[in-house]
Amino acid sequence: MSRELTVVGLSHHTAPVEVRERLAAAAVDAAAFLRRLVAECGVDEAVLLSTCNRIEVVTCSKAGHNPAPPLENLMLDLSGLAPTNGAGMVFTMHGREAVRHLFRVASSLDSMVVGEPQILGQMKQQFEISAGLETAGPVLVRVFHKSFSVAKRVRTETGIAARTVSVAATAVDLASHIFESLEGRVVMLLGAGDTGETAARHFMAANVGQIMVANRTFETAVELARELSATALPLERFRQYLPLADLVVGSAGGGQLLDAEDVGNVLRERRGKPMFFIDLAVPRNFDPAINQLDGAYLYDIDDLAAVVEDNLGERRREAVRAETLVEGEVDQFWQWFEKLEVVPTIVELREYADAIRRREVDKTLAKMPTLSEEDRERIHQMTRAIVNKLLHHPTTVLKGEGSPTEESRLLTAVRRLFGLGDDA
Amino acid sequence: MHTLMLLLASACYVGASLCYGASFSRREAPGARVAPWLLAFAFGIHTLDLGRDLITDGVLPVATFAGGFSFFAWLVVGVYLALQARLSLAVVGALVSPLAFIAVLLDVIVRGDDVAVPEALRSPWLFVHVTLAFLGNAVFALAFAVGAVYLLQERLIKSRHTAGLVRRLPPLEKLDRLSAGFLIWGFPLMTLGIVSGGVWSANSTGHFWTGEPREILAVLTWVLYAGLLQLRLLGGLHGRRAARWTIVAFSLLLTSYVAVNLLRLGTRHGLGLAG
Repeated sequence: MSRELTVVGLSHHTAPVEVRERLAAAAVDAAAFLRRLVAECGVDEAVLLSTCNRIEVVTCSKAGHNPAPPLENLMLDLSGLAPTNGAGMVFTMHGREAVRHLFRVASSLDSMVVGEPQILGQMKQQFEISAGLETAGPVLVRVFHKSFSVAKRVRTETGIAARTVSVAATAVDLASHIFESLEGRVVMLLGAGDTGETAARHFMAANVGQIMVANRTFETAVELARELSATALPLERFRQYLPLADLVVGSAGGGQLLDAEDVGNVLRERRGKPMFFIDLAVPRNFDPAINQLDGAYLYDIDDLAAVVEDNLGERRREAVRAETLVEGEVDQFWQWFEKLEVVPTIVELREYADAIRRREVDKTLAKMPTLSEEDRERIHQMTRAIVNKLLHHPTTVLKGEGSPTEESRLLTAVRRLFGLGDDA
Repeated sequence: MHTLMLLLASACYVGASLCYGASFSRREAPGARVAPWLLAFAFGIHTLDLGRDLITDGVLPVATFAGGFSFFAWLVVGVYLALQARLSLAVVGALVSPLAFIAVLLDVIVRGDDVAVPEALRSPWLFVHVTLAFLGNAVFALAFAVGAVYLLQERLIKSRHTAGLVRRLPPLEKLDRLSAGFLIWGFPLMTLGIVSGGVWSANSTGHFWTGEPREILAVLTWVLYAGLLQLRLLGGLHGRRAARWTIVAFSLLLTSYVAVNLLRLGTRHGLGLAG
């Protein structure tokens, strides 16, 4: 019995978020969804993959049965799309292509931001759910485990996740080249808007010690400070506390807040301890000349954006290496998968041939009642030898090492030529 | 035998230099893991050779400039290897490996077979003096190297060249801290080296201080390092300026060492004894 791997779904490449969220909502009860799917679409194994960027179903079914049409209909139905609207949104992949797709998704090569680290965890979680419901059988367990290990390889052997690709994360990364550790550092946030908040949260994740928030409207500063468990300051008084700050994030409106002379004085007061200024505001909060001072480092929004662009380029270059690696893994996996089919095919072929032989011998022997038991046995032996000799070469070829595509072609040919697996 | 060992050591030093170099040119270069082992192996051979010299001649091989340089490089590598596991300073390994290679090669080329060792050099005080003074210099050499890396890293960050090398160099603050740390360790060694040199001089000539140019230069360098350390610890000297002064101080140390030894300014020490 040979098997068919199929992936049907929609992702950020094919469907807008409104459609994805409708389908995600419908599939929120994974157990019900998967049971319905197994019942209605005639598949043996199924795993649901639902993240904010994709809702996909990975299935394994008997060869000859294509579960794609009912799966596509189910997807369209649940996302509330008429078949005409949704035609281009639902994609289907079979066999090798499906395996490659899963490996690429796990390795974050199919993600919106290539190299993002969340997808692997999400995929593992979703797989666990399906495994818990026992809709994932031996084939899908193998496919998924392999895709996890491929993802790990991609992550360690290529640099697709090595560089930061957001402005805030890049600022934290740069800080780590100035300061030995960010733990316990004091961050001063000028301006309590969204930009500043995002940066502050990234620094919090890097375990900074204390955050001070200064804002023109003091109430806003207090509000944000409460959220971040930080200290709020009125903007007029930020200079007083500036010598305490190791990192200063500027995101306030209204232009320049600090010039090089101010910072020079602060640095003297800090007795040479370095300061990192991150200017996210337009117009800029900090005088560019600050970067010339010994012990002061200044990056503005354009500088950071340039670093991000550079890092994205690096990720794209590394993604090309990752694709090659994935391709090799797909080859290997596919070889294993095809072997799964070889043995059953050989057994089937032999059973088929032996059934014909037995039928014909019995028919002939029925017409020759005078033969002795010994002679009958001799005829059996002779016909068995004919069958064995006829099948010897095809069997050797099937078992032999060929290229994956050649092997799959042979298998299909044998099954078609001898009418195997048609339950005929 | 001596030449053969030194050639083997220099080959390994070259190998280590290349591996360190490779590990800075590319991410996950295979050289990164091999480099410290190659360096340690080269150091081992170098140690055996120096030990052999010490046993056969009864003195450290510092009677010639090349021998002294080789001994100095051996100490620098030794101190680096002793610290590298704790400090993870591969970039300094990339600097000390070629230094050791040059020193050993020079030793092979320049040093004659056997130098007659003056009797004054056989004093145990000389052994103490040379070891301490050279150890101090080796530690200062590391302070110099770390200071130079600081300036490089600082320039890369300030000029926004954040793509490659920045990621493989240590953070600025760490470089600054280590450079200060090396000064703190080097200074007492240097001080003891000078004092023991005086004791040796008193033993062999009857005078603690003879007013030779080498002694004057030694004291001047000591004053410079004392001032630098003072400013570092108490005067808030940090970062770029501290790194520059550390480099200046070591350059003067090196210049006076070379001047004294090549121009034979230290007549009474006989030959070109370093120290």
